[in-house]
Amino acid sequence: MAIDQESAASSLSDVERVQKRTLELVRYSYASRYQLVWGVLVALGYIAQYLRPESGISIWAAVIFAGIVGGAVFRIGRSRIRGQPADYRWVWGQVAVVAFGLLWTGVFTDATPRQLSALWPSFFMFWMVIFGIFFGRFYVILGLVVSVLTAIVYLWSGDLFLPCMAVIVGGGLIASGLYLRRIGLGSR
Amino acid sequence: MSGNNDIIHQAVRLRIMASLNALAGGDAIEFTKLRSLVETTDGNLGSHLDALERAGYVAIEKRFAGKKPQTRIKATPSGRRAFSEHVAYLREILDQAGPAA
Repeated sequence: MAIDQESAASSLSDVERVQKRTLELVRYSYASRYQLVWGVLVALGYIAQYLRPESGISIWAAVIFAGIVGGAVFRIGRSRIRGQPADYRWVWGQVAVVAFGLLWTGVFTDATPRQLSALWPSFFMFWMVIFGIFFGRFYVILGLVVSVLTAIVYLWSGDLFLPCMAVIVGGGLIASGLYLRRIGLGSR
Repeated sequence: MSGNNDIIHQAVRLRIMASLNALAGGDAIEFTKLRSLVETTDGNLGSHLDALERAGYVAIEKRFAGKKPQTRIKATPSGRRAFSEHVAYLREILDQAGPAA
């Protein structure tokens, strides 16, 4: 059966659409693991900071370190299973974002702990929205919802700001991670 | 010029192979998720998967996830090759038309 140009164009468009959607679901599956890890760590970080506000810097240094190292271990493990060389770009990307944030929040400006606790998640959620514009609307929605809720509790939650942030940011990442795991395409 | 592959060119089968080919080598996809991606019914997907399996383009694995039966599908190396060749063939047809005005 001969294929005309119109049919060929339509078939290729179909192929591109299905492959794009498939890769989106694969990415959701990978991202779900990171989000679950970061969600638990961030929730614990806010609760720990609420209980021991004087140790805020140490708590968040430990959270960030654990998150980045955990992500690196996961990527190395995945590469070994697939027999591919490990790709560290994602790790370096996270290090760059954290370094940028630390420089501007810890060195060049004099923000209060409350401001920093709202700024950091907003900063990450901003990048989540940018990422989502290219790789999937789910991230856009997650980034916007967490940012808006963060602004609301920053302004109106009073002394319960940190527990509220544990629920919004940590809970948001955990809930979205579970959702992504359900809709994503698991490997092997 | 590559040749047309009638088995793969059928619309649903082309979408099935496109989705499986987007996965990393060796990765499989659950039946229900594939059905959602190719936008078809259980029966239709099952019959097209049978055709692709007979051609040696996909491998179907049935297993239990807990007590729940699960069907997982992956592209075979020959399926990936046949899909790539067919896509190349489709591109050649468009290239022959020259740039759009």
